Amino acid sequence: MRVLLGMGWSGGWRYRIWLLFLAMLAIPGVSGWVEQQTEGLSVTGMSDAVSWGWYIGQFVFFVGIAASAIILVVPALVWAGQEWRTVALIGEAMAVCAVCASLLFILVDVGRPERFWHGLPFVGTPHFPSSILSWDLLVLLVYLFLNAGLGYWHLRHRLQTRIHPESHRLLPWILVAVLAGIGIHVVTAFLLAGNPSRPFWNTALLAPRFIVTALAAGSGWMILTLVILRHVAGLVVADPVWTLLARVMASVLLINLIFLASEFFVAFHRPSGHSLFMQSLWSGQGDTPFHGLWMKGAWALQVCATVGSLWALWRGVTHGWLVCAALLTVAGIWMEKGVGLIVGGFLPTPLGEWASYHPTWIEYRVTLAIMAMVLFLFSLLVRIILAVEARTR
Amino acid sequence: MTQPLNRRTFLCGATATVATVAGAGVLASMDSSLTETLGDTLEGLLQKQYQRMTPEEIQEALARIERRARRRQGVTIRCVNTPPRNQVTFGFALNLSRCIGARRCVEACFRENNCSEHNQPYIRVISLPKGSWDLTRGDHGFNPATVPEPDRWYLPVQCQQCEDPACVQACPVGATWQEPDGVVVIDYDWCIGCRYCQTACPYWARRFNWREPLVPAARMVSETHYLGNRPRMRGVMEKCTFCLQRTRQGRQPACQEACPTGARIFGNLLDPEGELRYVLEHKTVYRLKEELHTEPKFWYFTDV
Repeated sequence: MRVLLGMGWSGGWRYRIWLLFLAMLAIPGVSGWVEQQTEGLSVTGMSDAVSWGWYIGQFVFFVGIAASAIILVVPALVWAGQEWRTVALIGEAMAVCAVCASLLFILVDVGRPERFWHGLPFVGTPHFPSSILSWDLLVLLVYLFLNAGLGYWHLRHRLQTRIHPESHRLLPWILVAVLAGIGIHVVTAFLLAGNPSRPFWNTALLAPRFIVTALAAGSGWMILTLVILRHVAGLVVADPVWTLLARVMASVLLINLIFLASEFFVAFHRPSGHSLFMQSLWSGQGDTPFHGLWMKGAWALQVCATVGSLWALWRGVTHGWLVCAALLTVAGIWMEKGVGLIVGGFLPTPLGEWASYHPTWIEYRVTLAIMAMVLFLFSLLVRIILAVEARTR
Repeated sequence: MTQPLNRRTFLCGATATVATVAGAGVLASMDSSLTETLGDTLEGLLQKQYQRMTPEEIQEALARIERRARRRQGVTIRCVNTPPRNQVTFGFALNLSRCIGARRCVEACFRENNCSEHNQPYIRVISLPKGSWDLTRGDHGFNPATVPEPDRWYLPVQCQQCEDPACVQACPVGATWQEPDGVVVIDYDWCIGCRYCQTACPYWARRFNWREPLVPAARMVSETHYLGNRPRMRGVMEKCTFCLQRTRQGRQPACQEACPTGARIFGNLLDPEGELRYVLEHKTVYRLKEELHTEPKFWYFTDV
C-alpha cells in the first residue's frame, strides 16, 4: 500500500503542477460549501418548487459514469489478452472516482450533513427496504468497496507476480460488480421514476434510458480519458480497445435515439400530465426559455453524437472523429441527464405551478471543487497504475 | 513488493482523518450563537430518533428545546409531548361551496405553527376558473380587491395526512412517520434534509427550511409540541400536522378556527356521531389525486 501511494505522488514537475492546479480549483468550492453550511441552502438556486437541482443532476450523471466503467472493464478482463488489462485497471479507477463524486454531490445537497449517521445501520434508522434512497446509498457503497477492493488486489497481484491475475480468479467478483454496476444506475432511475407525484419521471422507460445513456457517456468518457493519457503519459492502447469503445458508443447511442423518439411521440401525440414539461419547452409556458434552449441543445447534441460516432466507425475509428463524437456524447448526455431531466421533473409543481431554477455561483463553485477533488484522486490512481505497469514490463 | 501496512500507522491515520472530517462537520453545523452551550449542542447532535427515545430522554430533549428558545430568541416557550388519544383518527372535510378564497386559514396556520418568514405557508389556496379542475390553470398568487370573484372557485390544499403516505415511504432515515392518530409527523432533530419526501409528495405539502427560520419573538406561539409547532432549525423539512399541539388537547386546528365561512370540518373519523362522519356519509365527497392511492384523510365536497 505504501509503495503504491509513493508511486502516486512521484512524478515530474508537470504532474506536480497539475495536482497543484486541481487543489487550487477546489478552494473556491470548499469556501462555497462552508458558506452554504453557515447560511443555508438558500444560497443555491433551489426552492420548494424545484427542490433538487444542479447537485443531484451531477449525482445522477456520475452514477452513470460509474456504472458504465465496470461494464467497459469486463471485456478487457474476461475475453481479451494481457494488453487490455491496463485499460481494465483504469476503468476500475474511473468507477471508484465516479462513485466518490456521486456521494460527494449527495453530501453537499443535504441540509444536515452532520446527521448522515442517521441513515447507517445499527447507530441510525435506515429506512430499508421501503426507501429507494436507502437502497441507492447501499448499492453505491457496495459498488465503491467492490471496485476499490478489486482494483487494489489486481494491482498488488501485478506488482508481486509481474503478471495480471488470471481471468477465472477475477470472474466471480467481476460478475458481482457488473450486477452492482447495473444496480446503481437502475436504482438511481427508480429513485426518480418511482414517483407518481412527478409524471415527467414516472415512466418505465427511465431505467432503460439511464442504462443506455450511461453506457454512451461512459464509453465516451473512457475514449477521452485514454486519448488524454496517450498524450500526457504515453499510455499505449491497443487498437481493438478503441474499436470496442467506438462500437459500444455508437450502438447504445442508436438505441438511445429510439428511446428518445418514443419519448417524443408520447409527449407530443396527445397532451397528458407526463407531457406537460416537454411541451412547455416548445410553448414557452412557465418561464422556461433557458431550460428550453438547454434541453433542445442536449437532444441536438445527442443526435449529432450518434451520427458522429457512426461516421467515426465507418471511417475506421480515426481518432479525430472519435474524439469529436465522444465529446458530443458526453456533453449531450451530461446536459440532459445531469440537469435538464432533474429540474424538468419538478415542473410544473404537483399543484400545477410553474417555477424557474437558475443555479448560483455557489453551486458552480462547489461542483467544480468536487470535480477537481475527484480528478485529483483519479490522477493519483492512474499514476499508480502506469507506474506499476512500467515497473513490471 | 508492498510492505505489510503497519497497523498502528494505519489506525492513527484513519482516526486523524475521521476526527478532522467530523470536527469540520460539527464546527460547520454548530449554531454560531456564542451563548449556545456546548453540552446542549453535543446532546442534540447525539439525540436518538423520537420513537426510540426513553421517556426520560424525551423530557431532556423538551427541556433543551425550551432552553434553546430562551437563549436564541429570548422567548419563553413550553414544549410538550402530548400523546395521541385512544380511539381517535383525525380527518378533515372541506366544503368547496363555502370557500371564498379569503385565505384566513393560511394566515392563522402560519402564526399558530411558528412558521418562518422565509417560508411558504403550509396551506396553498388555488384560485381556479369556474368549470375547470385543471390545476395548471390555477392562480396561486391571486390578489383581487374582494373575494370571492364571480367567475372563480377556490381549492385549499395542505398536507392530506395520507394513510399510505408517499413521503414516509421515501424518507431514507425514518425521520417522518404516521402517528397512531393518523397524523404524519416529522422529527426535526432526525431529518437529514435530503428533500426526497418533498419530491415524493403529490400534494406539494412539505416545506423546507432553506435558511435559519425567522420567527419574530413578538408572534411566537409559546404552547408548542415536539412533533408540531416547536421552533425548527435550518436544513430540515416541516409541514401541516393538523395542529396536533392543539387537536391532541381537544382544541380545533387553527385553519378551521379562522375560516370565516365555516367551510372546514375537522374531527375524529372513529366517532360515528361526529359531524365529519355525517358529511362522509351524506355528501358526495372526493379526494385529490385519489388515483395515486395514498388514501388521504382529507375530503372535498360541495353543497350542490
